[in-house]
Amino acid sequence: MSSADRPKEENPWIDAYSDPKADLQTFSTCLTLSDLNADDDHKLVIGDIGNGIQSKLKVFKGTSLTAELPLLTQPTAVKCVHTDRNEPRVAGIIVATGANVLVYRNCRPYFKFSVPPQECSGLEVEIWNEISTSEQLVKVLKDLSMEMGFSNLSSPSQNLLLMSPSHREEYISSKLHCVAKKQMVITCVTTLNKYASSERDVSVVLLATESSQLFIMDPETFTIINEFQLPDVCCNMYATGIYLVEYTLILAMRSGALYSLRIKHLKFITQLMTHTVSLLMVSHKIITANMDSTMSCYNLKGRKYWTINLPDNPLYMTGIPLPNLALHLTAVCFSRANINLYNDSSLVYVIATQEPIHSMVFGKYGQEEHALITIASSGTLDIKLLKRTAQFSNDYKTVQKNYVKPHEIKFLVPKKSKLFLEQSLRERQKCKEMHSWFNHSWTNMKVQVSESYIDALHSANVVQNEALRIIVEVFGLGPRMKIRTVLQNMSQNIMPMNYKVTFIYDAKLYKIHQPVVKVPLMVHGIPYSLETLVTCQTAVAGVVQVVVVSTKVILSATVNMPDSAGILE
Amino acid sequence: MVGLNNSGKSTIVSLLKSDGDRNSEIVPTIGLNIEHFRYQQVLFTMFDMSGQGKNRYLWERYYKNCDGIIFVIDSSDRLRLAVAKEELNLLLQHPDISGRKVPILFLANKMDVREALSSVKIANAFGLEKIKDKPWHIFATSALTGEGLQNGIEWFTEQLSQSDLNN
Repeated sequence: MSSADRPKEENPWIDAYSDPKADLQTFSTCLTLSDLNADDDHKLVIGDIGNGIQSKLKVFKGTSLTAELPLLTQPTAVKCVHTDRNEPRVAGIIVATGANVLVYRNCRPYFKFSVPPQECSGLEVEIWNEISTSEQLVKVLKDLSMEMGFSNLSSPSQNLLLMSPSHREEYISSKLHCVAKKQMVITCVTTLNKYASSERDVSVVLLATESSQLFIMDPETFTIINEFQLPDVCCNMYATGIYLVEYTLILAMRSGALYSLRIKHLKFITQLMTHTVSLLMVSHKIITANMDSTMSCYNLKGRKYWTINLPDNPLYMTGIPLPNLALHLTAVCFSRANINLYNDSSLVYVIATQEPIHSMVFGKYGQEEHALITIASSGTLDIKLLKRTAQFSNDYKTVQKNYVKPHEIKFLVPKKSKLFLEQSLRERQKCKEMHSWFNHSWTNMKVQVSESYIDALHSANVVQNEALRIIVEVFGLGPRMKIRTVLQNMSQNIMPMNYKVTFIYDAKLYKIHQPVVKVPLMVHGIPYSLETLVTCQTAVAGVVQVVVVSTKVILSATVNMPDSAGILE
Repeated sequence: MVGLNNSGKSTIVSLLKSDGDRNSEIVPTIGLNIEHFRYQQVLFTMFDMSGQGKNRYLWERYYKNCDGIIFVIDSSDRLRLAVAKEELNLLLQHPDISGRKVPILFLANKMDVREALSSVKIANAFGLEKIKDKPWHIFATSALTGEGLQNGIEWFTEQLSQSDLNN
């Protein structure tokens, strides 16, 4: 196939399968691909929330559902890990729900692991042990919750306070002997290879909890092998590396801070302006999709490489590693529709979808290396396979936007007129004279400007109103007062004539006996004093504005009159 | 002989070669295997190509000198029918194939598997009726039992000897 007869924007994806009736409701964290039966046929494992009525764990093989297991509570995350190094390498399914981690093998329940509960304050234990009447207990616990905060109480205390009063008696009698402990809630889960980077290796499970802790669980023994106290609740994490060799863990906190954990050292990276929706690490760069419709890239020290605006609010982001093309793309699905594929910060392809994609996963599925599995808002399961001949180039044009590159924008240049042609001809012929003339007039202008500048400096001619100085004084406390206006001419050149002093005032408050005062011709330097009498009409302190006018207002001054209330009475 | 990985190409070849020294364990082919065998006085030189995605670019190197193509399809792998169709289109549009009257034998393998599609359904899905300039035929086979393979290879031999006579 020659390149000429190929359509320009060839779809690199094969729409292999689409099932609009799959009716799947899940999050991307509950979607995973794994070789469950060690037969080199990768299965799709879905923790289906099922309209919130009955959660189910579903396993898809190829185009058909092969297993369905009921879940008692809604799953937080579903992952697949190898729990041992025995042959055949059968992977286990890990379902995190509430405080528990359920492990399934060969689609059968295998183990139940619970995150250890947190011990509560001794005071609370004492309260539970000593007080037996429900009313008293509730009252004391309420006081305690005011003191310590509701979230720091133990789970039985929290339940009791939230319960309707009629049920409390029964609850207390049933719970009387149990120890007050606080149950953990798992917020997010990720896996990390333990011994080697092979995908068939045993992985440790990292569990972050609502009480700002991070546990590392070893699935070989189902024990916690390490735990960290985090500064905040972690809501998103991404792990790379090998647990026993070297690993990097990126944690996004609920406050918007990013932290890294490298071989037991927790380090602050940066504080994001908004919250992250999704987190990825591509070759030592952290990529975050944010709630303010942006995607940013940082290094591990917190330096920002770039931020791009996304067309819409992102819902999830997943990495698409394509080692045969030496690419590592990032797929972002949006709240309105479409999935955009980015190579670093440049858009390389848009997968147009009819409806928003709620969850997606990329990886090996069945026999195929590069499968993108998406679940739309209506529950449609869609499987796309990457073509062998697929190419992604950075100069992808969004057809919808009619995006034009800056250098391709054509300006509206008018046609060359006859005058323009004549002028340009003349310019070419007489370039020397024109240049010397231009230089001559340029120097001429510079001389003129400097001359007038020096002139201005010498004759520093003050503007008329600046040449007058005004001082206004008020004498007396009322009800009769005197306003004295002192005017002084500061300019030697100008003799102001026909000036008048008048007043702007509220006629209800004051009566000015001589509302207009004529100003005599003012000689330079001599102060002229003009006086007028004022009578207060009411017992309110007001404002009088003194204005010097000729044909226009030249100067004005505002006088705050004294309060004459006491005197009037 | 081409087809996606895990469709049963090498198993079919080992079955055709002889009944005696059949390999009990077939491993995924890397690159290609060249096999010689005689069937009804016709000497076959068969290039058993690897079907893995990263090796499929090798197929087109051998299009130029081939006299016939056997395209093996895993009829139980519904998910990858679209991928097989894509590969077939690439094959048919290749300049070394498009102009020539090369017979193509389609083998809808793994008919013994329960969820396998029938050969008619696969022919429809692939739009085989659109191939007008080449002789083609589709047979449902099972490389485990050898069922259907006899008919297929007989048709293929016939086609090859006919085109040989015309030349």
